[in-house]
Amino acid sequence: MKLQTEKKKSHRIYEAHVVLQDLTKHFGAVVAVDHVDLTISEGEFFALLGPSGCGKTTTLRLIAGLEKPTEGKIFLGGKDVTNLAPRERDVAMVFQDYALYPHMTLRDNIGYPLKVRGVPRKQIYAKVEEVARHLKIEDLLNRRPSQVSGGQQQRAAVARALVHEPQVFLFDEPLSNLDAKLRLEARAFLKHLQREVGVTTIYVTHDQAEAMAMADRIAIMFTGRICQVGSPVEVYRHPLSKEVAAFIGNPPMNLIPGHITREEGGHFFIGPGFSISLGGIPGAQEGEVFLGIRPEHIRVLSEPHPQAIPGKLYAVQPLGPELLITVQVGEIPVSVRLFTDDLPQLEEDVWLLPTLERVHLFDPTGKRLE
Amino acid sequence: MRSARFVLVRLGFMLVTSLLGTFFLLPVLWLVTAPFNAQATLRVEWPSPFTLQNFGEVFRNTFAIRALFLNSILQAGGTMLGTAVIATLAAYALSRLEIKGRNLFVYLLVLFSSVVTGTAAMVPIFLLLYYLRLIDTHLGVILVLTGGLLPTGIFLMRDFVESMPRSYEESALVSGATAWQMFRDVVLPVLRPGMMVVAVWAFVNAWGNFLIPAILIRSPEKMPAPVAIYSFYTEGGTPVLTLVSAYSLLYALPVVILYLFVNWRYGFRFFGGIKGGGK
Amino acid sequence: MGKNKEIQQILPRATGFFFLAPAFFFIGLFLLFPFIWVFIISFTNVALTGPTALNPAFVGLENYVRLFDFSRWMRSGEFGNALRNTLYFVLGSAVLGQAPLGLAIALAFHRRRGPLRELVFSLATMAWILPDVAVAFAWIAFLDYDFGTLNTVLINLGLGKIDWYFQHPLVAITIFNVWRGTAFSMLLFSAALGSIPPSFWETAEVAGASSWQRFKDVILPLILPHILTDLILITLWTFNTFTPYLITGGGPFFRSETVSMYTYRVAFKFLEFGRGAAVAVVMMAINFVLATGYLLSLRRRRAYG
Repeated sequence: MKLQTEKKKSHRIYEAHVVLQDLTKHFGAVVAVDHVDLTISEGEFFALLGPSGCGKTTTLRLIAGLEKPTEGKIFLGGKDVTNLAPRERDVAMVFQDYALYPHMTLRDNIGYPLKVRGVPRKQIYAKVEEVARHLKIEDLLNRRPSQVSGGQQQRAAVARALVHEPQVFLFDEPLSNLDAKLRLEARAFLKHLQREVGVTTIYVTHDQAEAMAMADRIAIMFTGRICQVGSPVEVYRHPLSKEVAAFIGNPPMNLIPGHITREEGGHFFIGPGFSISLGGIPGAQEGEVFLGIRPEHIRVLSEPHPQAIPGKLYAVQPLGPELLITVQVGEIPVSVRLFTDDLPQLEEDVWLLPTLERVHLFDPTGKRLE
Repeated sequence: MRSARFVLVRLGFMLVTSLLGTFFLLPVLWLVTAPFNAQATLRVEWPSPFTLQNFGEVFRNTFAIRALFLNSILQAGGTMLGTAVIATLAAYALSRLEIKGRNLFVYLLVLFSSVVTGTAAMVPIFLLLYYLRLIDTHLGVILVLTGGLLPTGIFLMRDFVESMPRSYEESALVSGATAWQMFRDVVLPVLRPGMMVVAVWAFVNAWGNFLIPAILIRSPEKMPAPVAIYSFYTEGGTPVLTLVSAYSLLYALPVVILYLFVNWRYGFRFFGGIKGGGK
Repeated sequence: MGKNKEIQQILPRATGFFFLAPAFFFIGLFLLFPFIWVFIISFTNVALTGPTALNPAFVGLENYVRLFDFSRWMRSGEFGNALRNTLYFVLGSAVLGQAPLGLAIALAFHRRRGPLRELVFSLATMAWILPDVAVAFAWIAFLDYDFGTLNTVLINLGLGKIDWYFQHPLVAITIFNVWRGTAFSMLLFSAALGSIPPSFWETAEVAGASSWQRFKDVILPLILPHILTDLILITLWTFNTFTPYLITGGGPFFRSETVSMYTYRVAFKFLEFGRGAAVAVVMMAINFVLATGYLLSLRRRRAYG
């Protein structure tokens, strides 16, 4: 797409495009954002992921200038913008509810950022046409937001963010108002668009699948703090805490409480009603631990096995390309994902064989052991 | 059996509700028949002979016409404008400023306005205007009406402001708008239906108010329509029913039209105490 | 600090208070100030005519003493008479008239649509919103002894005619006020009933409850707070209404004079503002009690969810 290329050339390329330094925001006694440090590169698609109330939206609003930080600094393109008004920051934001003005046509909605910058009407309309054509909503420009579908509204909101060629895109859960099918389409569309335009994008979501699917890097936030930053594969394969492990993946990682003892032949994990050898896996040390294993890294056996965890079959959910099996181990439900469309013949008693190389260990505070 | 009972219940329901409808209709029938009757009495009857002469008589009466088309429009219009603008600004500020207890504040305000109301409130207000030398002025009537209507006006307007998402304003700010651009381009247009509703409501209240202009206006050339009609009836012996009925109908018509308009345009939304203040 | 800062972005505090200023001005001048001032006036003999017009003096409690002079208090044209009339008028037209009738109409048309509902609702609403003077004339005609529609109907029903103005003036303005104000209760109860989720009703239906049981066990408990709210509000408004004055003028011989009309007569016919202010203080005190009751009823409703 040609929209952004010219501008980019005139831009100095900053390695670190958005920098948050020790960013903190209090609402009265509540600490919404707690000493966040973050560096986002030029052109990166960066996701802020976390459960609701974790401070991710507040962080985004701090970057937009809609909130003032209690402490810390924000740099955009190398410039300290901490005390600047939103309009002096050259960012664009797509809101969860799109915030399309009901009294304006889509044309005027999309053109609004240019209008307030004093761009002549003719140029505004030309630019709006161009952006709208690209987003395939050029036929809807004379309609009002209430006259188009949710997906089209979403595109119009994106068009309005795109039209004045900002330095940074900010997305606040832009897909949460779409139904499941449209959401999948919109994911691909937004990801494709971001690649084309190449504008640094910060994307807030509570949906881990969305963050995984779209972002170059993900920051996972809990209670105002960033727990882990990394590529989707990194945070999936190498969660630094039990919380991250449990938040990423659907179904999430199984976490079985127990303790490790050291005997001849290495470390053993003693769980509810079973004991398995951990061999020489890294991080194994004596004491209380959580054993983490992803559903796809377990095999289901119908006969006992020295390295397998015994359990009772609870439910089998055929999902088409895969099977989701829930097994009760003591009091703990363990999910297993099998990539087969054949329903296996299973009795009530089953044995779960974890792939040892894929086992994660976390200490009682939730910290990863390695 | 069951169906026979059903039919009976249904018939009974229709009978009772029709009677109710009749109860609400009968008293105003005279207002619709008498103005077209050349020999109107206090009886409700089919106009005979049918005539529009009564309206001609109204239009030839300069006092009546001045009261209706100048004074009433001036006083109700001024009140409408004042109430809508001031209530909108106040409701917007109350919604967007984070002030502790602002909900309670608005409730107390509306309640307080129904404590200081009617003839009781007019005693000190009359003296106040007397000392401000605003007795017998249009401005005096407009100020007093606006003051009485404002609390409920703010209350009504607040609903509309609260239903406007903050993201509208925020997206305007992030889009690069100044505070004034945001207010002019986004806030005011989005609140326009609310302003219309409050304006219509204030107009209808001011238009129909008898007590306040009756107390504050002395000279015939400044009297609004309700005071003028009343003076037709109470002064100068036997009232001319043809004139009074035709004039009353003309005077009531804008309220009916505005009701129909609001009903059609916005759907008659029910606001607790829509007639609250100002009376 | 903290929370306020975020809002400042949309509306800076100074601008916000600038927006509020005109409203505060009006409220201060026409609500707050009169409310306080009326107490002061009630202890003086301010008048616009007569010997005290130029030099009003403090007279202490004299106005109140005259108001509550029990030797003459119930006489025709005195305060006690007006107070008693008001009590009957409010009880009859608001408590026994508007509220039950409004509830009955709302219930009759609950979960029913159609032209009959539209008609009844529109007519009732029209009676509510038409200007005072217009409806007053319509009612003068309606109640007329010789030609009035009401007597015509009564004759046709074989009941004979009634001299409403001379024999039953208080009953006449009571019926008038029921006609005038029922729409409010009707709309309020209709909205309250509409806010009850249909599933509540349907659950009771499926459980086999009769109409009366459904009303008693499901609807009534849910709208009880609204009934309280409605009663207090219409009592407040009926207590202060001046419109019946346009029909009977308080007559004959003050037999339909309410407190509202009494105040008007003392202050604006006799121009004795000191005395008028004393009545106004009593009226506002009663208003204040009703309004406080209303506020408490709202708080209870919130507590019950």
